[in-house]
Amino acid sequence: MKRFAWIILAPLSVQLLVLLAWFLLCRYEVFPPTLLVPPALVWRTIVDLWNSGDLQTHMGWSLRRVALGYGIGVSAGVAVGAALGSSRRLETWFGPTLDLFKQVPVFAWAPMMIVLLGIEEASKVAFIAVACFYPVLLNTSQGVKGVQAKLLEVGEVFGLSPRHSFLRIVVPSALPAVLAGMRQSIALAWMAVVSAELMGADSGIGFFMTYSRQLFQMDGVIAGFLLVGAVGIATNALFGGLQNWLLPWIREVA
Amino acid sequence: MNAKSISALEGMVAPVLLVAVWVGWTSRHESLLCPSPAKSVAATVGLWRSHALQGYLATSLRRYALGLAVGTSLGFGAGSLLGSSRILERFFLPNLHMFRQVPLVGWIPLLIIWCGQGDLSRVVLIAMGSFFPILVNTHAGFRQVPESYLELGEVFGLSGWEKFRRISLPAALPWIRTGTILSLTFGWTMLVASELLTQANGGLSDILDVGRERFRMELVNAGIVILGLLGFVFNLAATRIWSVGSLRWRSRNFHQSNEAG
Repeated sequence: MKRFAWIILAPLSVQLLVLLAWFLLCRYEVFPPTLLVPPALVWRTIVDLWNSGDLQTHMGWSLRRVALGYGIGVSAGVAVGAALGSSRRLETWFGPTLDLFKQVPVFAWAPMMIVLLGIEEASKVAFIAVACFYPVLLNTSQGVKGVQAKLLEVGEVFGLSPRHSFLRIVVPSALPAVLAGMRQSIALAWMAVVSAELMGADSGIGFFMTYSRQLFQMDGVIAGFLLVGAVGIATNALFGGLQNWLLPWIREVA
Repeated sequence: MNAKSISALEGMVAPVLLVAVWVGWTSRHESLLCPSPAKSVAATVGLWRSHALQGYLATSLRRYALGLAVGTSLGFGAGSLLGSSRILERFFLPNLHMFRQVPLVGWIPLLIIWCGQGDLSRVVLIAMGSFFPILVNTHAGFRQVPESYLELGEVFGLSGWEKFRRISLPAALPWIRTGTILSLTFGWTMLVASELLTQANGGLSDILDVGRERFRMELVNAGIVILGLLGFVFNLAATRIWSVGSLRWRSRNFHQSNEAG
């Protein structure tokens, strides 16, 4: 019980202090309201956004883009990663090429996507997919490569068909790495959608932040920021839970 | 020729083929969306001749260097503090881990309001990007220093500072190395993000922006190659500097243990 108090209450106290500092800074008007608005106002803005349905609309757009882009990027990453991980030949022939493209900072692809696919949905989804691709690719290929040869030999002894040895041996051995890659990718996907919406969009949570900024509505900007952060934290926690649930034999060491 | 250089050659086949197909295709069907690589080279040379490229380079590198300097030193400081104090760790580490999950680009609208559209916002963003990787790794590095080493230091009557300098720091160095390399890479990514999201700023990303706005794909291609190449060079430099420097002893031990295992 005492340990629990330490783990929960110590970090919580810091959060409350930050909140208090924020409140006091506004109370005594250290910064003008164009720079900082009180927490209560931001909270009211979020509630209003929810009641008017704007919050759901913008979040819905952002999440839809993430779902599409993430789905495409992760599937491609798992497929290519599994191929490279299971065939040494494929890896020597194509690994260096993929390394070459990996050097490009992800955001540099965004303008190219816009030129090729237009400013609408397609370029955003493609950009998110590109951002998701590499972490999954690298982790999957490592995971598949790391499947122990002796396990496969045991499978052979038991007369497993290639399909069965893939399902029973390769998939469970590689799963932790694949999930780790997917967890890195979801963070990148969320970052990618927000940046794509900041660059040019007419919907989505990133657009909402830019729009509020242009209208000098500081409460909207901070509300948007908190929502973006909350989704980032929530998806990471969700994937952590997923890992614990699917891989009960590996406990995350925090 | 040994097996290693043969497989290196095999790895070169695909990129060379890719460029060859690209050149061959564009020599017949040159289009706005798929200009020949020669055009990108010509565009880059043009940018260099007009001294635009040098300007972009200087501006971007200045932002990058400033952001990195601030971010990595703060990250290293915070990481060593958290790594040496259990109390601070309890209070701040969970919060920092949570904070890290907030996408950095989400800060951009706030930064624009608080720090303006100028370089300050960009430097802060790059600093934030390079802050976390080195913080996390430095902390992990200090955490894994065996308690017995520190007790030995105690026996020898070393002061707290001496224990830090002679025991903890060298033991944590491999982790710090990983942290700096990751910080360098992520800082470069954030530089591109910060430049693309606040327009026409005189940095390297202007090449991409101009290419996109005027529909000049050869500029977009050139920009991507330049940014990728520089990122690669920084990564390589960081890896090399660390491996010829302080960590020689470790890599030697590493090879030995690998061979034994």
